Amino acid sequence: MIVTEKKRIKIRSICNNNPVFFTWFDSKGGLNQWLFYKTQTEVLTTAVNNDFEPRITDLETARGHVFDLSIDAQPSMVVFANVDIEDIEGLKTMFHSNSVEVLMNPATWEVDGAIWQSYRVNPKSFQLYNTDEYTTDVEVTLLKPYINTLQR
Amino acid sequence: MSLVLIQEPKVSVNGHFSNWSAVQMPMVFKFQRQDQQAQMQYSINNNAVIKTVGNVSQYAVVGDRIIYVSGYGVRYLFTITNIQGNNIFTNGISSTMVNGGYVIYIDGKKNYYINTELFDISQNNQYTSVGIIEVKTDTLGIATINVSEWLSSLGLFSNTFDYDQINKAIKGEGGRYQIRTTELFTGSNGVASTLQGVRYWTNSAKQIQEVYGVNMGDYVPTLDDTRLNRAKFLTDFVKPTYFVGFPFSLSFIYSDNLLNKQISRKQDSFDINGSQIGGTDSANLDYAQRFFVNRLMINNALTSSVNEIDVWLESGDDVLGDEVSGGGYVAPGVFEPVQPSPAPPKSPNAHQHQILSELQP
Repeated sequence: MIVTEKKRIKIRSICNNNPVFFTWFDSKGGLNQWLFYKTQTEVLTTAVNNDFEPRITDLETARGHVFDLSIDAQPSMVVFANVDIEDIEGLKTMFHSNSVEVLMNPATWEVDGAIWQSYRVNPKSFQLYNTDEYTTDVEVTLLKPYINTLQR
Repeated sequence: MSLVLIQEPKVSVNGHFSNWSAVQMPMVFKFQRQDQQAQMQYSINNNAVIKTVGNVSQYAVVGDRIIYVSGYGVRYLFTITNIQGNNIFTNGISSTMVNGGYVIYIDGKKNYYINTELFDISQNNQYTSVGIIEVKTDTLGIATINVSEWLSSLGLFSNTFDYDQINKAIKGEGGRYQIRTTELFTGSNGVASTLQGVRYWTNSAKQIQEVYGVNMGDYVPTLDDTRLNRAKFLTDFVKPTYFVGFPFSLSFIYSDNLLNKQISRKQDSFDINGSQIGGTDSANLDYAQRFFVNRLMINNALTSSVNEIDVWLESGDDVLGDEVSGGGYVAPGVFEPVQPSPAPPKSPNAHQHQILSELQP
C-alpha cells in the first residue's frame, strides 16, 4: 500500500565550479538543500564600533587624531542563480529560515563526513519572480560568521 | 480520577488519527475537572437539589459553595444547605429537572490546581521529565495546558544527519512525549494519574487556514488505501533537486500509524523525455527509526541518462519479532506519586486564575 505521495526529484549534475551547498530547515521542519555554483561575490563589510580622540599635547610626536577602539568585520557572500519558477516555493523558505548551514568541505564530505557552518540570510525584501516567466534570477546575501578583531 | 481529557492536539485524517503536531504552534490539552458525577439536578420548593452518583463526596460540607455544571454545560453556583444520602440541597433557585452533569467542590477543595508533568521519550524508550506545568481551572472547571512551550525547547536547528543510512530518526527534528496530571488542593496527597497516550511533535510551524490547524495530519502517513491525499514529505519544493555528489535527503514523518509494517522506499527513474528507465527500485527502511521525523536517502546510483526520479513509501508485511508498543514502556519510577508542592500554585494563565479567584473566598 502506498503511504506517501510520489515525490518527483530533479537530478542535476553540476561541474565542480565554485560550489556553495546550503541546507536549511523550512517552516514544516523538513531539511532542504540547494547548490549555488559558478559565481559568487565575496564581501567584507566593516564598521567602526567605537573610537576616541585624545587631547594632543605634543604635536611633534602625535601619531594621529582619532583612534579606533574596535572595528566590526562582517564577511558575507552574495550568491546568484537562475532557477525554475517551480523551485521558488522551496527556495524562498531559505530566505526566512533561521537554520541555514553551508557545507564547508564539498570535495571531501563523503570521506571525512560533512562539516557545516551556520550562515544567516541578510534580511531584505526579496522580489521572487514575475508571473509570466519560466525562470527567474535569484540573488541572496548570506552573512558569514563575523571576524573576531582586536580591541584596544 | 475526576479529571477528564476533553481536548488534545490530534485530528482525524480520513478516519485515522494523527497524533503529530507542530511544536512551534500552541499544542493545547484541555482537562475538565469533575469532582463528582451527578445523576440529575431537580427541584424541591424551588430550590435546586443535586443527586450525585454514589454517596455525596466528603468534600461537600453544608455552607460550602459548589459549582454544578449541567448536562448541557450550563454552570450554576450554589451554596449547600443540607446533605442527605446522595442528595445535595442548595439555595439555588430552580424549578426544572436536568439530567447528568457534575459537581465541582470549590470550597471543599480549596486552592485547587493541576500539575501536568511532561515526559520526553527517547528512541530507546527512556523517559525524561521536561518540566511541570501548574495551572488553575476556569469557572467551568476546565484547565488549559499548552505543552508546546516546553517541547519547543527540544527542537534542533542543525543538520546532524551523516547521510550514511537509508532512513534515520533525528531526535529534535521531532519527538514524542507523554503527560500525566496530578490534582492538588489544600489537604490533598497529590496522586498522579496514569500517563496519557503517547503523542508526537515535529519542529514545525503551521500557517493560517491550513487544513488540520496545528496538527501535521497532511504529512502523517496512514495505512489507508482510500486516502486521496497521501502523506506529504516535509518540503515546500514542488520538485526537490538532487545535486549529484552532494548530500540529499527528504524529511518525512515515520508515524505511529504505520504500526509494525515493514516500510519500503520505492524509486522510479525517468529520462529527459519522461520515459521510465528500468523497473522500480525497492529498499526496506530501518524499522527501528520509527516514531520520529526521519530523513530518507534516495538510491543515488543513477545512470547519466536519469533526469528525474519519483520517490515514495509503501507498506508491506508485518515486521516479525517486534511488538509495536507505541512507546508504552515506562521506566521505573515514572509512576511514583508527585509530591505536593508546598509553594502556592502559580498559574501560567493569569486570566483563568483571575476568573476562579472571583469564586473563592
